[in-house]
Amino acid sequence: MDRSAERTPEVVLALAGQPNVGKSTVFNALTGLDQHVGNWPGKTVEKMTGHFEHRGLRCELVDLPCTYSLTSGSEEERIARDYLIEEPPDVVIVLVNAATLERNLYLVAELLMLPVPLVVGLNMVDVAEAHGTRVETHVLEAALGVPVVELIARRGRGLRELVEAAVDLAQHPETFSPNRPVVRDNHRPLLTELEALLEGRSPEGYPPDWAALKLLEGDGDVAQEVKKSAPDAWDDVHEVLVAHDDAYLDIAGGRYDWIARMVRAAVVRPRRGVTVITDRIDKVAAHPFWGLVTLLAALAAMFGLTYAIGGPAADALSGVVSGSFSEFLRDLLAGAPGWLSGVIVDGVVAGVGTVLSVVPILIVFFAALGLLEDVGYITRTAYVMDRYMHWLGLHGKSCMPLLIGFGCNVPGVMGTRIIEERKTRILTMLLTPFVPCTGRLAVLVFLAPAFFGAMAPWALLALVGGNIAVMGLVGFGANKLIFKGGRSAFIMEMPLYHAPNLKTIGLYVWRNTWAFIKKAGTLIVIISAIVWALSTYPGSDPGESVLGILGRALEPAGALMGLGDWRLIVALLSSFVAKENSVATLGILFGAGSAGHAGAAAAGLATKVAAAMTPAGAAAFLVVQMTFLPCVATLAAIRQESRSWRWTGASVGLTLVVAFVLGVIVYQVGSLLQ
Amino acid sequence: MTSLAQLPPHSRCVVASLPRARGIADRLIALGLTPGSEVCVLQNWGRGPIIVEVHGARVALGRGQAARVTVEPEPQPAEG
Repeated sequence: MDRSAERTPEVVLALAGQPNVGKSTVFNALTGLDQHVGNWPGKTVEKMTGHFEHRGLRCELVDLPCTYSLTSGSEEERIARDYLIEEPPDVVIVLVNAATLERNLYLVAELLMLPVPLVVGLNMVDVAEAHGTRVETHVLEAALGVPVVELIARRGRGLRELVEAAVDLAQHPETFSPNRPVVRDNHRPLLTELEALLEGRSPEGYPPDWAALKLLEGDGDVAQEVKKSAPDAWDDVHEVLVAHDDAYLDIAGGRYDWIARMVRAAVVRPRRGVTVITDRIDKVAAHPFWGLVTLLAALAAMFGLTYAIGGPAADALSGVVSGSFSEFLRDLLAGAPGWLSGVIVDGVVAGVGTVLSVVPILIVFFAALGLLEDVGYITRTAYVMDRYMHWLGLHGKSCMPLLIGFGCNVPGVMGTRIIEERKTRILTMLLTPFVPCTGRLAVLVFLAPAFFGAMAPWALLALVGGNIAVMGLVGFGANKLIFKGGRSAFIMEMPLYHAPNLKTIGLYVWRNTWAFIKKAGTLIVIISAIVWALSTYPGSDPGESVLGILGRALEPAGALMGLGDWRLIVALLSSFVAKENSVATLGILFGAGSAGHAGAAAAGLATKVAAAMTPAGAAAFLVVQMTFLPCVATLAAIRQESRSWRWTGASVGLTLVVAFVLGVIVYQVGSLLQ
Repeated sequence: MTSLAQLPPHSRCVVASLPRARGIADRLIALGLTPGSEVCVLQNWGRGPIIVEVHGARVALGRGQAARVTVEPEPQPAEG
């Protein structure tokens, strides 16, 4: 529930932290379901805001994007720092993981240069202790001069104290006297020089010392701002920067020097040579061979669960919708004009059925994905698969979404959220529709025996293998052409393994599923209703409808693929709503009654369809069926995730072109061989 | 000059220089790989990415990136 409008918050807190510090666990634990998901103004990154009460004070908690630093390298980093400069919260709560304290303090070192009071939440002290690392909280607090609160957020421990410290600081900001990091001696005069040049002309809201430091680090955004705010000083500034263009290495090194001083007395590390539990698990999970076996086992478990729980639940739900609920609506609308009852019962309700049949599958997939992500395993799949994803222009993180795509493309597309870089995310989204999902495999399994007889299993294998090869080629080509090569670098943290948090996973499932129903669901229902109308009007049977007319118009193009029969084209077009629809449409158009009910009728249909085509045409039909257009649910998911109609359109165009080219090649070559 | 990609598992070293590409250098820095940082190689199979430990955290690097990080052997440890 979003109750943010109820009362203006009295205390605004921001939650910052590097990845893998348990930030979402803390955010969820503090705000529960009182969360609001929006967008950062003008950005494609999600903004999460939540509210809670503390001692009668209404607190707002803004979840900043997870970032390793505050340079302007990524959109997330820019968002975090623009927010802190432009609308500073009362206090920033910055989370660090006790097990990776030194590295996590890098962000603290950067935050301390901004004029906002900080509270440090030292999270996962239990995981750190299990790995032999102990942190003396009060020693760290004394060194930093910043309140430090010990947490085990997963078990809710320390959260109240954390909020207490943050609210205290918000009410008494004058008590904040941190030990700020300083640059190394050799660069101090430079910094003073830059500060003098910026004197009184620093961009609005930018503290001059921070702006000078960022300039010296070669920060492009800050340079742009300074050029505007101090145009006459820019030449001098620029001269200093050009002469010291490698200063950023020293500044970063200086931050780690500062960190080393901060933790020297506060951290007890495991003795050298002691193998910690994470390294023991990684001997298997991140092994080049056993890692693949582990990954396959995880996938098998995931798909097994989906079939055991998601499948039956989906069938039951869509059964109710297409059965008794449809009947009920039909009776209700008995007095209404025929077209109205048609649009609602056959169009809208069918669309709702599509949405509902995907939801249970999504829930199971998201639960599995959330679990694997939360315990720290997803990064290992990326590590193990990186060498194979290499030549697709992708890196390891794209592997999980693509593999999930075999079950259903929708969670595959939504799973690309785990990829930070937008370019890689988009490319992965464009490739997901080439992964043969279960809906397409069902059509394949139904038609292949009639088309290929005893050769059917081999044809199946060739088609699925072909699809994967096509995905590889498209990935390779798209990377070269659209994204101009330059595979994104694979540099990724491997977090320590730890026990999962059910609340985090539960809210992850809830948020993602609800987002799908709300955004993609609406689109699916609308498109389903339109497709129904197109297949029904103006004539009464599909042959006389707009879709039928379109099918006939496309016959010349279809003929190139051996699909000169408009009925085959209409069947393919109808699979846009759901891939398995093509069988039902063929059933109507070839007059074999309802397909799939009786085995004999089904076999009869497949034979009738096979008779309408040459073997080469049949092969082309299946190739096109396997590659052409993502289904409407996948398309809606692509639109939702990319937040771009352009990329959604690109996916449509790409799949259409690939399907057509492949169809023509398969038919023409096949005809020559016959 | 030795690169990080050439080091066998369990070896320790100190980062000497980073790739020139600023985008990649920034990401390495943010994950703790600055010149002067002590690194321990945890996994290196001779092909594919490697895993190192640096500033108390584990970081996976593509082989291409690791090959462009130069390193020097670790100075003798102060304690026994």
